[in-house]
Amino acid sequence: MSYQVHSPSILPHLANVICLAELYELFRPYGKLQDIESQPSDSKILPRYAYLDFAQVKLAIMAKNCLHGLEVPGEAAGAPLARLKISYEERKRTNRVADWITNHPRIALPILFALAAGFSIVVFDPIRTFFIKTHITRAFHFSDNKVYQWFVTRANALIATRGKKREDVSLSTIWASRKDNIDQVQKWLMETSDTFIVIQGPRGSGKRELVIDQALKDAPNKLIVDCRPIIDARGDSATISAAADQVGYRPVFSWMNNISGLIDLAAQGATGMKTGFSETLDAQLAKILANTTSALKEVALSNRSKEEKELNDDTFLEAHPERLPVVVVDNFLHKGLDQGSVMIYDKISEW
Amino acid sequence: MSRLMPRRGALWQGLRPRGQVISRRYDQTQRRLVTTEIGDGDSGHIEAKSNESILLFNNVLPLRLQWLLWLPLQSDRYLEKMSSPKMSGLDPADILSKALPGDSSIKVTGLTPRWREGSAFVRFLHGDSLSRKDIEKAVKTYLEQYPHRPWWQPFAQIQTRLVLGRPFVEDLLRRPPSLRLKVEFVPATAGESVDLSQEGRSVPRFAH
Repeated sequence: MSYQVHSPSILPHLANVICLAELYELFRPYGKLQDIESQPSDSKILPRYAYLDFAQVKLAIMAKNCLHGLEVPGEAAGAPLARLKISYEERKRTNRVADWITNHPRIALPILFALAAGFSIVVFDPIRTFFIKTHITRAFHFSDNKVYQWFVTRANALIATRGKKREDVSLSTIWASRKDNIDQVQKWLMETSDTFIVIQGPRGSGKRELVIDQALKDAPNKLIVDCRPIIDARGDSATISAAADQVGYRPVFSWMNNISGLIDLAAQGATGMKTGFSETLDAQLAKILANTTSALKEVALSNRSKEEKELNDDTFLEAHPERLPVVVVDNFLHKGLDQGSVMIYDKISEW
Repeated sequence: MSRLMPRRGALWQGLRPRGQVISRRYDQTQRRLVTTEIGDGDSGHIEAKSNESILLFNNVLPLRLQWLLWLPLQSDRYLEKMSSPKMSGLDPADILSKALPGDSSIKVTGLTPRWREGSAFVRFLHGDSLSRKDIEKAVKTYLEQYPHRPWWQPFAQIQTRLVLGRPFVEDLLRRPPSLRLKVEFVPATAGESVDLSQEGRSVPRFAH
């Protein structure tokens, strides 16, 4: 066999073409090739190499095993033999979707945030509403369990409680004297759904006991929101978690308040525009209250009979004011109107 | 670590104790030598003597099921049993003898299963009456006439090719079979580097 020798100065491009064709001739019997990628002509890497992409792995396996170590003759007599050294090479995976996302942060990031927000609404909001509902109806309160209470009464009978009875008697006489007030509150509660009752009095006058322990003793569903821990909490995230704690809003990511600010900043740096992703204290409180509203509504409308279900929700609630859950806002304005607490009071009173 | 290295070489040898024997007679009557997956004496190479040739058969072992071998179960034993020539009916050495029924000079001298690559090497002695190209052709036509299909891949069939080089049979974990091959041209005699494409000559037609 004789080979035509081309000078690189005359035909600089031919070298690679021929190499490609020869490699093709050598490897094609083992199966279909996707591509042959020879070393760039200006590459100085030795030994010279080429990449071959087969259509199937089993073809590559055959070609590798059959041709590894094959000695191919050099250009002319006396030229050194070349030995083929074949190894598997992992192909770089190019993911077009990932590429697109990384190349278009202005479009991709807002979409990503929207998806995250949507996810939280779809997944977390029902869970939170459920937890608020159980908080209102006290479904998971162990101390309300009848069996537990039976054990408690038995245990109390065994343990001597001196002086407790006398105290009870004295308290009951006090409440008997305020029976009028209690009845008044209970009557007001039965009136309509859209009202609120304000109970005022000096500190230590027993407002809380009057309402919660006496007037609402038999109310099945009540939600007591104590403003004191919410106002007293330091920092935004503590305020959020205190508010969430009051209504039983779980899971709460109060740290998100801090983190989202950073994320927003980063996104702003990446995209050059505001994403509106940051969650302020204001927005978080509004979310907690909105969730509580929906939970209260669900509680009020639960346990309806079939005929009652056909009624309009509002008509049903007007007909059955006793089904309405009662929200008690305790310690409202307990600390005066300073800068920070005004907003929270505003929120609660708006609600 | 022992779980990470399943006894792949134990294929077709029964259940031999781990790491004890590197090669052993698999079929006493026909005297076929079965090596481990990584070649003669675990050297990573299969050598053919002057009058020996090697045929590569693919699809004789389950390539896609080999992840089973890595499970911390005894699954490798079952897989080995299930894909053994007895169960699968795919004995590459048997195929070779059936493809050339009249030729008594052909004698299988070695069998190297390749779990990683789902294939097996068959090394055989042959006389001068048939060239190794002819033997390859005969086995190919036999396999075309009687397609052998493994039970684990009912649409695939066994194919065979003659081994032209000196196969490097490794079991390196980080180098699984892939679509892409890197072909390097190293000097056959040490010292010089071969510059195939830069010299501006036609790369020789590779003589098989």
